[in-house]
Amino acid sequence: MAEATANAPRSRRIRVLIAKIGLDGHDVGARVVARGLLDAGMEVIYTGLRRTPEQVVRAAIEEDVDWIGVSTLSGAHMTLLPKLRRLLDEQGASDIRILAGGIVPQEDIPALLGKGVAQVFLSGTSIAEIVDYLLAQTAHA
Amino acid sequence: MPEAMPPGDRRQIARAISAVENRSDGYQSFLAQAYRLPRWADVIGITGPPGTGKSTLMDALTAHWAADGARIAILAIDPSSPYSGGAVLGDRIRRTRSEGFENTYFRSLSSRGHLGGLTETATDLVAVLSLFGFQRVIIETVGAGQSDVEIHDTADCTVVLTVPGLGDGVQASKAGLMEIGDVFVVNKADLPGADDAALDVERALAAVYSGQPGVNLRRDGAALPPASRALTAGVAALQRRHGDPRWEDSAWVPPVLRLVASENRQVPELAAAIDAFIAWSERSERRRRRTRERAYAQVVRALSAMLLAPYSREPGSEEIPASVEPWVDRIVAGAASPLEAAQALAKDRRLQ
Repeated sequence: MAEATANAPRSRRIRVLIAKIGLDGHDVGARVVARGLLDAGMEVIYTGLRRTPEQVVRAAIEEDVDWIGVSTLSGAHMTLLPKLRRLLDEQGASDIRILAGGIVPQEDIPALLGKGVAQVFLSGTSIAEIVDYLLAQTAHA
Repeated sequence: MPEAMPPGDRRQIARAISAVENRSDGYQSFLAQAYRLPRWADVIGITGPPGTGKSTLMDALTAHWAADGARIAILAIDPSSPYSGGAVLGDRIRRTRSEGFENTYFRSLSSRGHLGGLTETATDLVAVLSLFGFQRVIIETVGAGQSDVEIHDTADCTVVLTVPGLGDGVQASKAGLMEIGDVFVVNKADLPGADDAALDVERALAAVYSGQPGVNLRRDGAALPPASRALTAGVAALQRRHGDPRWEDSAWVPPVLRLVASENRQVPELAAAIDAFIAWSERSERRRRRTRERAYAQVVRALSAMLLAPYSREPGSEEIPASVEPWVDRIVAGAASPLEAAQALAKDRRLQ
C-alpha cells in the first residue's frame, strides 16, 4: 500500500556531538574526526572551541545525539570528563555516551572508563576504528 | 482544538523532533495534534549565500527577542553529503549571544538529500515546535544558491541576506533568491561597498515595487480600477505577495537594511521590520494566503514522497531500484527515452 510505504520508518542516522571543552584552542583533530564521521554517513554537530561542560550537555540534549566525542589536548580530562558524565546523568540523559580522543596518558584511561567514559581513542587512532566502534555500539544503527 | 503543550523539557522536545525527522516513534500523532492547533508560531526564515552571516544574524535576533521572554526555537539547516548522506552541522558555533537564554531551543538539521534550501520535514517541525508552545521559530536555510527558494512559502517572513562584493547590479535583478525577500539585509555593512550593494538591491526592488519601504497606505486619487491592470505575470505574483498601494488599502515594500550582525548594529531595527511585516501580512490577509500555499505545497510534497517511494533510494546508495533498472539500461543503450520509461512505470503502477 502506498501509505504504508511512505510512512515506513526511515533509517535513523547516528548523531554525534564533537566538543571542545575548556581552555583548549586546537581543533584540527576534532575537525578531522568530524569529517571522517560525515564520510561514514553520520550527522556530526560541532560546538566550536572553549565550551563549558554545561554548554556541551545542553547542546547534546537539544540535538538529541547518541554520542559526545570530546577532543581533549589540555590535560584537564580527569576533571572535565567525569563532570560531563555527572551533568548528563543529572539531566536524565544517561543514555548519551561519551567518547574521548586526543592526548590522555595511558594510566588515566582505566579511571576514565570507570567514571562513565565509554571509550578513549588516543591520537594516532584511525578514523575507520572510531567508525567501526560507533557502528557496533549504537543500538539503532 | 488542542491547546499548546506546557513548556516541555528540552529532552522531550528534542525527542519529538527526532521522531518527526525519522518518521518514527508515534510521529503521526504529534503531527495530527500539531496541525490542528488554532495558531502556529511566527516563522522567520533567514536565507542567503554561504558566508553572508546567517548564523550570526540568527543568534543576534534570537538574543534580541528572547530578552523579552518569548519562547524561541531555532532550526539551522546544513547540507548533507550527496555521497555518504552524512553531514557536519556547524551553525551552533555562532550560538554565543543567545545561548544563555533558557527560553530558547536550538536544533541543527541536515537537509538529508532534500534540495531547495530546507529539509523535507521543515514545516512539520514548525508544527511540532508550535505544539510545544514556541512563539517564534527562526529557520536558517542552507547557504542558498540562486534557486534555493523553498523558504518563501515556509516562513511567515523571509529575510534575504547579502554582503558587499558579491556582484554588480545585475546580480540583484536576477530571478530566484533576490525575489523572495520580505525584508532584505546587507550584512557586514562596515565593509567597503556596502552602500553600493544596498543601492543595487533597492534599484532592483524599485523596478517592481512602488512606494516607500515598509507599509504603504492607499494613495489618494491614485486608485485604478483592477480591470485596467496590465501586469506581467512576475509583477502580478509579487503584488499578490505584497500588494500595491494604487488599488489596495495597504501594501508592503520590502525594506533594505544595512547591518553589522556581529556587533548587533541595527539588529533591533531588523526585528522591528520583521514584526511590522508580520503584522501587515496578518491585517492584509497575506498571511492566510501564505499558510494556504504552504499547506498545498505540503500535500504535494507528501504525495510525491508517497508516489515516488518505490523508485527512491537512500542518499549515499548507488543501487538503482529493481523496477527502474531495466529502463536505465535501455536508456543508456540508446533504446528508450526517460519519458517513455516514466510513462511505462506509471502505467505498471496503475495496474497493480
